[in-house]
Amino acid sequence: MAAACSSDDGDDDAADDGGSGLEAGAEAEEEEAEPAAPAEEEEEAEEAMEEEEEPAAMLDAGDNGDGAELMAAAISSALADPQAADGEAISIGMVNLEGSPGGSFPEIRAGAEAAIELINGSMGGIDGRPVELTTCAHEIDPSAAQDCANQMVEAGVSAIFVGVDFFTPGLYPIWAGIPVYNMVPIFVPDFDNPGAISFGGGCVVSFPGQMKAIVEGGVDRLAVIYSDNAPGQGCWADTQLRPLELLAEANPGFEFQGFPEVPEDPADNDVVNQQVLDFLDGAENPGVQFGIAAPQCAEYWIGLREAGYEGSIFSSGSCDDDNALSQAGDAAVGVTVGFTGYSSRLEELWADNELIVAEVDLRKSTLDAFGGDTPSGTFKDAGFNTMMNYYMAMSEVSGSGGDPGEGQTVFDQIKTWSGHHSFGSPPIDCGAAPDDYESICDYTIAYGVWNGASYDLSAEHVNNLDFVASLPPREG
Amino acid sequence: MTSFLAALIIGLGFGGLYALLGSGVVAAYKGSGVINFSHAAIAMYSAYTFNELRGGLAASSLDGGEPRATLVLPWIDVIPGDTINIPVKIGLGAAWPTFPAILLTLLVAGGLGLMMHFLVFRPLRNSPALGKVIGSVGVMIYLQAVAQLNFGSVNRRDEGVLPSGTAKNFLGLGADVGVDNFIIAGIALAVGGGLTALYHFTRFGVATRAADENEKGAVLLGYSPQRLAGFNWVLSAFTAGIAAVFFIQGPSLNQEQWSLFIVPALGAALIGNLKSIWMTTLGGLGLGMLQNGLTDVAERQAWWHDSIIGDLLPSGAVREVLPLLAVITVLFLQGDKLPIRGSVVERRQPRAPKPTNPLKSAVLPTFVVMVAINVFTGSWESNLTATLVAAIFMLSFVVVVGYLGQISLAQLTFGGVAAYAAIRFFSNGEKVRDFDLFAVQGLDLPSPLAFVLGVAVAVVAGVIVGLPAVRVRGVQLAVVTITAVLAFEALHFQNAYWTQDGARSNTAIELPNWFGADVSVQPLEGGATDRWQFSAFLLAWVIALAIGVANLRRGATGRRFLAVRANERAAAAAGIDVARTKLLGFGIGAGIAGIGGILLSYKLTSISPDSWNVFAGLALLAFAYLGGISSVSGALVGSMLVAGGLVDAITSLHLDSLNPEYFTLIGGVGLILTAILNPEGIAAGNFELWSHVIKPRLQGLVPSATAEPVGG
Repeated sequence: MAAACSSDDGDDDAADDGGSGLEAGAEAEEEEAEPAAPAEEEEEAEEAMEEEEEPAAMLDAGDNGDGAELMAAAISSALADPQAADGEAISIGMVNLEGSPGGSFPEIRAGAEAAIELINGSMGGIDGRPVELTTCAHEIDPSAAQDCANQMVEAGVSAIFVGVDFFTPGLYPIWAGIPVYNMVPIFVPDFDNPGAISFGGGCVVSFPGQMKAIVEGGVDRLAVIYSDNAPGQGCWADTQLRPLELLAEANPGFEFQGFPEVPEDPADNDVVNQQVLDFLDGAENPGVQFGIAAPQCAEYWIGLREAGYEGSIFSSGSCDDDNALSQAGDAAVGVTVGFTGYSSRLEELWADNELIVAEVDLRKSTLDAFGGDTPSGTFKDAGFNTMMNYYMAMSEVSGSGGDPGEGQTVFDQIKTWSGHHSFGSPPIDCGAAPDDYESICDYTIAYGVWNGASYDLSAEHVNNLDFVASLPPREG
Repeated sequence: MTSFLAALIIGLGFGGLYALLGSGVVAAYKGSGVINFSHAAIAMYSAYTFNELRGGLAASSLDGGEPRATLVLPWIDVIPGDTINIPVKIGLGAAWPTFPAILLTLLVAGGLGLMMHFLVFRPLRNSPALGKVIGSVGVMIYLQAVAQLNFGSVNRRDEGVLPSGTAKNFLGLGADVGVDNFIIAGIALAVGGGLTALYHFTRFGVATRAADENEKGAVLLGYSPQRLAGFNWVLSAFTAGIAAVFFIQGPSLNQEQWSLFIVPALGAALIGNLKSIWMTTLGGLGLGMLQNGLTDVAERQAWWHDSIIGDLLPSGAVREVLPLLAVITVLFLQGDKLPIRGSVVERRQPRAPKPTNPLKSAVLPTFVVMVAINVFTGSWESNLTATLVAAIFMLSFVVVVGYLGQISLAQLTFGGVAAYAAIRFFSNGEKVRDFDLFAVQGLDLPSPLAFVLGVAVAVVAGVIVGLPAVRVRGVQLAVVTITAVLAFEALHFQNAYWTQDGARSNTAIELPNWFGADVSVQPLEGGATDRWQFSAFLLAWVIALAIGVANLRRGATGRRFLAVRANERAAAAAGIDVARTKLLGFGIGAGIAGIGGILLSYKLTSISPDSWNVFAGLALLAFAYLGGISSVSGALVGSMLVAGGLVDAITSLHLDSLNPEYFTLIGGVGLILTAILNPEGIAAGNFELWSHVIKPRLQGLVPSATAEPVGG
């Protein structure tokens, strides 16, 4: 399958008409069809201001780290007076895996593209310069992945954003010298690549901390179901097996076993479920942890519950997907999900934080307007948040007299972030991680339990950096 | 033992699916002589239809909006603008209740069957077996693409219509068995029994059997084979619709996964000898049960997973290997009894013109590519090397399918076999690059020697897969090779015993060095994969192999191949050792594909099992057929059409924002049209145009120096 490449710049859609990404769906579309006259715009802006309890300019940056004021000001300004960007474009690229049954993540791209619409259409770009996003989506085909990688180089993008890709180890050499931002890091080279950054998410954040929490929560026998494909095996070996071995050594009563599941083979579900149940049979406090993606999560939740399993079920944010939760119905009730950042699912975490409330609201309204029909969830938010963080970094570079179109300058700026604000998330450190994980900026995770309609907060953010750093060294 | 029995019983659900789909395959074969590779794709489209009628994605949304029913027709609106539209999505109000939704789904499935009959297989009724296989592959590609465009790529789940309860500790075996497994198996038995009765006790059934056994005789008795075929296509499509409706609550709904159910369904159909619906039903049920049961044994029993058995046949491979074993067993036991439908008239095979002067013919293309290598950079160079690699695979199709007449769907797989083998031969146990996931242990042989040994392994694989060809030919062989593709993928590519840690991941390739020359695609320090040295290296291989294949056609071996293709009995009567000739053809074809595979691995720098998957292999065959499968020039034309090839690059210049599925859809339609209208492919059409239109006119404009004097 050929890779699909397209460009989404600030010259179209909302950017053209000066429309705001803050208006939801139909309103935004209406504006695209018929550009509002300046007077009308003013009226609408005034109305928007009136609707807000407090003027947007009053947004409090709060205790959200360096850069929070910049973001607060940008959001306030966008709410009060949306500005479209029209200067020289800053070119960035995005590669994403889409269209294969073994892995398809269009929602991450949708999240990123919606953020670009917001930046260009309402936030005035970077000092008036729009961000031009060249995207290339490909199926699970290394040749198509390579084609996408070459297209990014050829397009001369200043930075490359990767949604989910099963081939990044083969793509990094092609991108030598171009900074890479992984939205959902998977492989070891995604974690320890000095030329890559991940603001959050990924199995290195989600799994070790969750394993620790599971054992500390009293589970004495844990079955881990992981995808029997490249990312699944990579995450299992590096971020699940290693912490579990460490935990089993420290807790003699604790047992665990991994169960590979082939995502492309629906016929193996029953067998895997049965093996899991056999393994857990007789355990005092059994648990099942999921290292698989959303469509399979629903299948296994249903399968386990139908087979009479009543023990605990844990998963990372990769299972948090509207469709999966809805399809699983009652089978998903009681599942504990680990969330990085301030997930919109766990409102209690940020309900008192004015800036985060504004960011989450902004993300929701923008995704409603520009996020397409892909399901909402953690991955879609990750695509959005990553782009907004990059916007913040470019603005900082621009503010200090640098060129935000210089990818390496922006990258270096982000590497200095310590206790820095991250869009819709707790503050992050991008230069503090051990060498094995130097690309990762955030090690915090919070937990929610699905009640059938929403998540109940079960544990506030825990920083797992120390635990991750204590893991035994990798082999090979 | 109890867990094995429980696993067998749990396998009834999938067994029921295979039985239903297999019955449909047999019904279509009885009616038209076509082994329908797109049958599971009809089930896939029907499942989406059913899901849409019940509210589609909105039915499983947390937003709480009211689900709406939509009838999504199996085509796209190709008319630009909004003035006139071809109806595609028809709103039908609130989500439909189950029973009407089932009825409309079956209607859509039946309509699909009828469309396939009238638009594809009726026009192909007199085509050779290859044309029909290509037609059904074209339909499969079309349905997958149209489903992707109309329903999107988000995996769906549908709670289905069957009860979701379980039989606790069923028969005291210690396992809870979902009751839906029993219901699906029951439906399969009922459908199988009903169809068997239909074919045995009704006038329609007897007429169908008569036409199946002797089409000419049926015509003489006053039956219309084409009308019978139409009814059978509808019947066949109904089985796919039934499978979709009652199996939809099982796995997630997506295009590829469902389309691949065709492989075990074909296994079941062959167990039924392509004649007996009842045996097909039992075969399908048995296959599903055995898959589950043996997988369970492979997972649980130490004597399996801790021994060489587990190394060679890991639990994950059991499901893929069983259909192959079933097919080979059936072919071994009764291959010579498998029915081959005799048409009233059979169109001739595509011509395989004898090349006149391969060396001379190679000069111009070589010059053009040399210029391109010097001009192209970046993704254009990558498109060029994709084209060159594809050309090598196309040449292997020319030998096996074009010259020898054996339908092999496994050529890309042979490439994978060679690539993985070569990696083991020349790896030295160290990571090639810092970013590589794994180091591969190997013999540290020089690149050329590892290359030759890798190709040798592919030749052995080719001969093994070709062995059934000694007993069968045509569409049955296509079934063998497609099951072999999945088996190789599971047994070899995804098996850590052979491919080590990269078995389910990426395996890096050492930088190839041929006699001191670095022919890798990428500079050691990284950057775009566009080194001219690699392109030139590829070009040299393409020229050598193209000339070799052309000379093969010119020589005695090529004549023997064509004789076997035309008529095996006549060839044997003429003193040709048919078995030896077939195996030789498979060996040569696999060798060429092996060369392509290793060069593809050089291009990709790291490979994964997905690099060689069944759909990629089918796409290659499709493009080979489009270009012209029986000539070297056809191979070269076909190679330009592949995804990521030069035509793709050119069209992307203007259509870069177009969903790639449109290209896939156009490819599927193009394949069907080529099979019907121009089975000799684009190259032959160009040749005709040149030799009958352009060349005579040019000769008329420029008097030949050797022309005979006219007049006195």
